[in-house]
Amino acid sequence: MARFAGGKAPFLRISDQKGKSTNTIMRDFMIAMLPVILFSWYKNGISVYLDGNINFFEMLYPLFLVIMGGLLSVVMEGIFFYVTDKKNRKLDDILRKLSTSYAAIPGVILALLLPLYTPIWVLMFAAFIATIVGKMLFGGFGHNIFNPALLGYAVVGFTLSGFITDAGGVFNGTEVLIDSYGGATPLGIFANFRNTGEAFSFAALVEPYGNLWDFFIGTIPGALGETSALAILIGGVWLVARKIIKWYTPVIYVGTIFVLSWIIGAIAGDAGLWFPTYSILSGGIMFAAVFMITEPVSTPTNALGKVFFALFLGVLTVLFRFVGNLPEGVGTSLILMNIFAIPIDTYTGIIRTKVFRKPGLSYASVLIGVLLIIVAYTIIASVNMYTAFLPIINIWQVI
Amino acid sequence: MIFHKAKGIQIDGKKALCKKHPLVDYLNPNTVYIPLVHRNLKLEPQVKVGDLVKIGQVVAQFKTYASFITHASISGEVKSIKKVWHSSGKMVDAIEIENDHKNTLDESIKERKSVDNLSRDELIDIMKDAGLTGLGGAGFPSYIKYQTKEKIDTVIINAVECEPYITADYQFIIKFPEKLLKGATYMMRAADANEVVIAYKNYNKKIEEELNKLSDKYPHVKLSPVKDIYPAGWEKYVVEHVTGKTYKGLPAEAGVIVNNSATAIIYADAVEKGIPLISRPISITGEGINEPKTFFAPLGTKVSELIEQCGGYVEGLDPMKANYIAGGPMTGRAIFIDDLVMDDTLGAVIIRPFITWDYPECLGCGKCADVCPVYLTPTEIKKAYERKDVKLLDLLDANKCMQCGLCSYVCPSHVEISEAVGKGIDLLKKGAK
Amino acid sequence: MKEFLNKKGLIITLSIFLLIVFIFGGMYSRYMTNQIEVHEEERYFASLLELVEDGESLEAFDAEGADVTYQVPGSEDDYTPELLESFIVLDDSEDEIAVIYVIETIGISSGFQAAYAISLDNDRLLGVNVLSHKETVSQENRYYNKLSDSFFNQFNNKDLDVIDFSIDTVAGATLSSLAMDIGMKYARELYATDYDFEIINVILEIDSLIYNYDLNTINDYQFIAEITFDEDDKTALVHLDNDFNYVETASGDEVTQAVIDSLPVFIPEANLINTDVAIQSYDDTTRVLTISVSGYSSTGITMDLLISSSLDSVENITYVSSDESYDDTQGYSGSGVPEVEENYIDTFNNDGSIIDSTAGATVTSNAMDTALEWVQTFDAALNGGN
Repeated sequence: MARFAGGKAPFLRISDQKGKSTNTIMRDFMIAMLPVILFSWYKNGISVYLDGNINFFEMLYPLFLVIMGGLLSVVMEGIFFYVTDKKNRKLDDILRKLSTSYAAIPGVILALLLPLYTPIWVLMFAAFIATIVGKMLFGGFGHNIFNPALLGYAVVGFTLSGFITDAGGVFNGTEVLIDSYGGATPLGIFANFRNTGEAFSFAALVEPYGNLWDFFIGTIPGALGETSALAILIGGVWLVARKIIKWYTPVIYVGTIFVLSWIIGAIAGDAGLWFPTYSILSGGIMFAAVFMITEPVSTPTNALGKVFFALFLGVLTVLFRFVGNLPEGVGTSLILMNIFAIPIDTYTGIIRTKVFRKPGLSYASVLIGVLLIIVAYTIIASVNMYTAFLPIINIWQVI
Repeated sequence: MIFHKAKGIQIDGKKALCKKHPLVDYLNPNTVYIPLVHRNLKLEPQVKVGDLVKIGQVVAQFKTYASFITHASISGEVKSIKKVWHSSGKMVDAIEIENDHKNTLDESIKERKSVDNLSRDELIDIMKDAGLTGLGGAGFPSYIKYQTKEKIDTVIINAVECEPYITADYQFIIKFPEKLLKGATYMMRAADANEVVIAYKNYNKKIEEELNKLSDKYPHVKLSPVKDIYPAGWEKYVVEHVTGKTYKGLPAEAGVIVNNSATAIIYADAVEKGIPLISRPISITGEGINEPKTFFAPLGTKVSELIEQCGGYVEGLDPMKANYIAGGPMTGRAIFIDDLVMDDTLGAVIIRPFITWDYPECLGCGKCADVCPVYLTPTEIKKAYERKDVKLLDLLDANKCMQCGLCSYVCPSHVEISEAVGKGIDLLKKGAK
Repeated sequence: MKEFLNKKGLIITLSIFLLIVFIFGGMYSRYMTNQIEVHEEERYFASLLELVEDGESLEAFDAEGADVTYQVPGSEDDYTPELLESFIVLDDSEDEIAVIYVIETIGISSGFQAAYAISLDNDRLLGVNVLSHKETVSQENRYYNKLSDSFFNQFNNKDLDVIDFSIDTVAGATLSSLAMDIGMKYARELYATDYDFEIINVILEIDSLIYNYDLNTINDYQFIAEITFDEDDKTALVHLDNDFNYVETASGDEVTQAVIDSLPVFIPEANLINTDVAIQSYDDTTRVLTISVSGYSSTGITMDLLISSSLDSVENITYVSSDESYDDTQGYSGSGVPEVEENYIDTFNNDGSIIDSTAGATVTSNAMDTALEWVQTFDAALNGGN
């Protein structure tokens, strides 16, 4: 008679097999970010060094930022574990907790989002906000409501952006020489146009930075990680192949923005394809699509929920870009949608099983209705179509 | 519904362990313990301590709505009624019978000459008297299924056996293919149906071979290979696969009756020779067993004797780091003491060592929702259960869950999500009252 | 080590780590920020050194400044250009070979900054490097981009020791080129103050300027001017050709070479009379005086005046050729060149009157106007003279 271990069905689990533990998820994620890190180091460090515009230590700075970002967030999380859990203060315990806590990811993403000349203390502060406030205070990994990297970035972007610009801003050593950049990143020019009401044109928005291929490969000014759509795509394909993210989240997000931008461009007079392409290749949309909106904890869990989430996000991003005074379309829309991830989850859980039966239809109609209203609002507000409607209403002598 | 065709994923079968040996008869245990509990219902013993019983003699029954009888599986003396460990995880009363090795048969066991003249009702009565239950693990008294008022077109024999490790049905079939076909035919006549379809996993070529050899004599029997996914053996999946129709409550709504293949083989013996349900095939397998085998053993046999026949546990097995699983690995139950007794629902005993490491919290990756054959969202059900929100549980269709365990299987964070959904179903049932 | 880390050591280590990152990382970031300015300065100096061949290093110095004013383009005000920086350029053996002045002048708006390099060896302007032309950046460099290499080449190796120290402006970027012209002149003034250099100074005033209406000498000289020159207020009556070059002194004091060289520069600046009409040639056998007047194009309209046999009046005018251009693209509604010219000439031949300006060919009309008025004056002179 022997006493056996207890357990609950099922007794066969993927998570118990070798090579499928969550450490592999972390490792795969880091590998996916490698193309982006390497490209940004090359573009902002090595190639500027080869041009002769900076010296050796300056070349290492982008790599230094990324590594420090990861290390800082891990260390801060370790300190938090130490301080809050009085019983488990040994090194082994803390290492164990860290191994399942995905500590480094918000830090690395932060370093890739912030501009090149970010001072280290700004990065530390951002890592603190991201890790401690955005993740630990909510209950640790698995319980955070907001995307922690985005929280850190938003707080720093709102409050400390002056320090970053004083320290040197976004342009690296080569870009600062190019007169046609005029001191603004691509989206910065767009914001100016939008505020002054001038019409967009290919020559004004795209040409100062090259052609759309430059936007795709990433040789345009911008933060470390957000310029190169090509590197991000490679990382994204790797992640999808390893089944860490679902393919439809980035595709639907980018597709929504593409289609909406096209519609808005067409209504404003220019139905060329360049405008939607420019829209998706600038402003960090590709980076957010692959690395940030796929963050599993703060976004809906089931497939239909992710689809709706991506749809809403796409519409909101376009809305915040064209209308409103908020600085960053992608970041603010993502933070806003993180709040709604929980209700979306519940609703889509119901819709998934009930499909066409009565309760499912009513929940589905709520979601789709809200989506359509926001889409309509975006289109009308972006091209100021309301004023175009007034003459039509006059003709009908309603007013 | 179009979107909601049942689906599954392929998981590692691990059946090679057990297929090496053919079916072994183990028909002479020294003692058997017939459990006095069946599907949580208490049976009344029909014999007392000291009685001499014969093989096939009725030893316990209960006569209510779903009346059920159970028989002695060996002949000998009733020694006592004692508590033994049962596959439900609890200790239950059981009739201890000591084998006198005389193998005296009860009078009811005799050859039936005129099997072709048996009417539908008579066939169903044979089922009832034989105490035949679904040998696929549910243990549902089979005769009740055949008493349905619906029109039945097809009888499906479920030989899929989709759970990993188990090969009991497979080896039973390849040893007695003709009995399977005969039993299936009798079932068809008991249901007044037109045809029989045997569903099996498409990689089991041996089944195909053996059955095809005899297919001329049984033209009404068709074969239907099924993809190698889990849970292909789930009743609804099989029905959808074979007939294309689906149903809400019982397969009879779609004009189908589904029975396990072992049930059909036992039924063949019950019709032709009058032998009631007294033995069944069982796989003793797992990485913790030296020589995994499948046995055909009498009900009530102690599993430890079978394990001995398999060469015992492997060297260096740490029981505290191994699971003793009654049933299949996906839907079975972990037994704490290895002193289990066979009953009609026990199709396999698996000894499986395991290792664990640290897992993070629920990632929110959504793999559980992707994999669910019934299109449920397990994370939402878990949350609703934790909030005790019965209305939401109902909206989320928690009672559709058939506890296949796939959600926990795929979860990268080792969350006990299948168990949480099970608790949610219980809460819903209680709350709905 | 493990023991140490397992107790209080862990938190101490982590805190020290954070502190180290804070301090050294901060220093690294500071260094990066400083390097931006360092590199900018390096590039600035490199661009300045490009102007001077063999130049190796720069040394800042304080220039004395010069108190000279120039006119603000487009207004009546004067201003003194601003000297931003001044450098001495040394070669690899530490000899001073050139001086660079960075001056800000006014073009379309203020803010035109350029560096002017002057060689100490031969008193020549070595070249110009425009540092910032922000005065036109809001119009997307529309004007500045018209300044091509050939424009900038005018500054290379330009002799400071000339009276006519100026550059040609570029049409369409007049004010920007003017800004550089003024900057260049101011650089010369500064150079004269700092170093031993005398700017050629000619004291010359044009008192009057008239055409030469004397048919006997009209082929030799076409203009007559009265000038006052030199510190002693010498005066002279000089004869000049069509381009105001000196021909001879009619009377008065002996003119110096400097005055002779300055005349073509000073006379147009004095702007005393309208000199659009140029006397081309006179043939005394046919009594035909060929004149030309510049209109839309500089070669303009050429016409022949037939003098009467008594040499006291203009008998008629014949049209010779025209380089004008006006057509319906410019709003003119008649047939093309030379309809306007011929209209004017025909009317004048008939009754000596001058018609009104024709729409769409205003410049040509004004040129014809000027020419015919000149003929009237010439006619009066012929009549009154002799």
